Amino acid sequence: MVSGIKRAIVLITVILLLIICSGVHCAPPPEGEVRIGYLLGDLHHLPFFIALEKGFFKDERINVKVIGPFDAGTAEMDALVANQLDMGYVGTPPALIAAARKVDLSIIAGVNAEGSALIVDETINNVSDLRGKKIATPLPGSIQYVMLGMLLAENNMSYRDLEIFPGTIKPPDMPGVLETGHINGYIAWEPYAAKAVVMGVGKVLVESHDIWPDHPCCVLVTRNDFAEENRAIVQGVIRAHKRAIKFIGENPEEAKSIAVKYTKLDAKTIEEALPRIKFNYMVNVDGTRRFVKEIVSLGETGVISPIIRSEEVPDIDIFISKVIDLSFLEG
Amino acid sequence: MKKRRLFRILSIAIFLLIWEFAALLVSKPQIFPTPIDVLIAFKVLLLSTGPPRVEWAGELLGHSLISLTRVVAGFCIASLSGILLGIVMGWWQPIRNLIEPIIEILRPIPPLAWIPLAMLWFGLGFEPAVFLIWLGAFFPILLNTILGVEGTSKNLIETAKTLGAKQRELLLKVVIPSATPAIMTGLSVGFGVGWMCLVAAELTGCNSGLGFMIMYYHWTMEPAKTIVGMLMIGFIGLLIFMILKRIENKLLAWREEI
Repeated sequence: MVSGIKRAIVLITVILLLIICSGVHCAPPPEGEVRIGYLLGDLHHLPFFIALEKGFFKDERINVKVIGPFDAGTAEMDALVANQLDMGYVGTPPALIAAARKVDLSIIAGVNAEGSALIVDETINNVSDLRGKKIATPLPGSIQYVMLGMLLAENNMSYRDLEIFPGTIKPPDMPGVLETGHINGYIAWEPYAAKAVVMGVGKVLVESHDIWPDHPCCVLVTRNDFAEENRAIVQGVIRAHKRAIKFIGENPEEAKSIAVKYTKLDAKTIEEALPRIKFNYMVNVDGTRRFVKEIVSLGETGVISPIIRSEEVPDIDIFISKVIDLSFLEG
Repeated sequence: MKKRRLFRILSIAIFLLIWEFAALLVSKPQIFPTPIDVLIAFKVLLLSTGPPRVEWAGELLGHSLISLTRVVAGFCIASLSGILLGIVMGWWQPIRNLIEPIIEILRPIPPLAWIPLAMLWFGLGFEPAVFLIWLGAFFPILLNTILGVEGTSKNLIETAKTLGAKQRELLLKVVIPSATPAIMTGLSVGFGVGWMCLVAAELTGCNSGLGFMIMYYHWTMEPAKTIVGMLMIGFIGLLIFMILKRIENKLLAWREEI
């Protein structure tokens, strides 16, 4: 009887010790849920697709609820304002526009540089041929819309010299609409630029690299109130994101097949598109500052209703230092 | 009459006051602007450069003009096709039997469902928008015309026939005048539906018009300007409804005399 009690005590002690030890040796990493948004079939968001597919978020014990896809970043920012999203993969301009409208968000990591192209039909052979032509873009305020404005300004033209259709055709539909001849060209994120080339319905007139080499493109943003309460989760997401970017460099073939799976496009299109995208988790601070200036000056030319007014960002340096938060990346 | 006007002003004032307080309470101008924000946006839109081809009119009036052109074009085609087909279907039973089954199937399809086809068939811009507005306006005009023609008093027709009226005279001098009140009702209902199809129509690859303007400022996160666009649609709709009512009363002045 006594030995029975002793045995039980020993057993309980051992179990308790085991529980305590396991707790000491592997402190449980952050555990929680985060809602992350992304854009429709956007190849720039490949790190997100890879982190999902390879279970990198799960390794951080983060349960990611995927929200979207959105037609363009500005629509995604709407969802962020409406508290439907905690974090998002999105273009730099939509994030800046939202921040200028006093949306409480931060850019916390880079995703990629470059990665868009202006696709045209056979009637257009140089930028000045664009005059009077029907060109589709993603929503106004998207990176492609802004970059087209920059290209036109460089060539002494403006949106008004073209017949622009912003936001009326979703990027995945653009190659098809180009084929019908209802538009003469479009600017889109990859892989939808490459798709028209592979389909043989259009050619690359200008890569976004030609407009501005190494221009910042997609970034990872978070709602500040979410990040304050869930710092560990945000850091975990960034760790998974960095790992995914490293993975693309180390396993290009597997990355390609994951890209095919998530964009539902053929391997040939992905192969055509990928070399135009530079994945990088660092935030291009100087590039972001230049973007604010570009967007403000596009509005000041009076050709379009200003998307960010100078009075909304009286001091660009202060604005940038508020919008970009590198502490998560460094942590 | 004076009291009624006073109540109207009071009702709008109370509405604006509640709106202002609610917006201040939410205090998120990216989602819920105050009436004052909307007023400022109205001024900005009135003074900024208009869309291509109507730059002089300013943004708000320019987009309104473009929208009106589309609605008037769609409405005119709908009136012409609806009234003609309505008279034919109302007067000749065999033709009606032939066409009615098709109409019955097409009528319940909301114009919104036609958007993909409108884009494929008509491309971008003016034509698909006019097509969708035509779809919205056509059926009320058609059905009311048929009703009007059908409802012509048999006595009137028989009397005219006895007096030697031929088919042509019968239609032009008896049936159509008698159907006019119903046709007018069809026209004002049709215009209303067509106007309401506008936002949907201007999303089909348009880059101008009030529907486009509403979406544009939704995308650039300026809801105050979106609200200005919405209110403009409301005001123009009301104005046109009042004009149609006046025309109807003038045209059908004889109704009261009878």
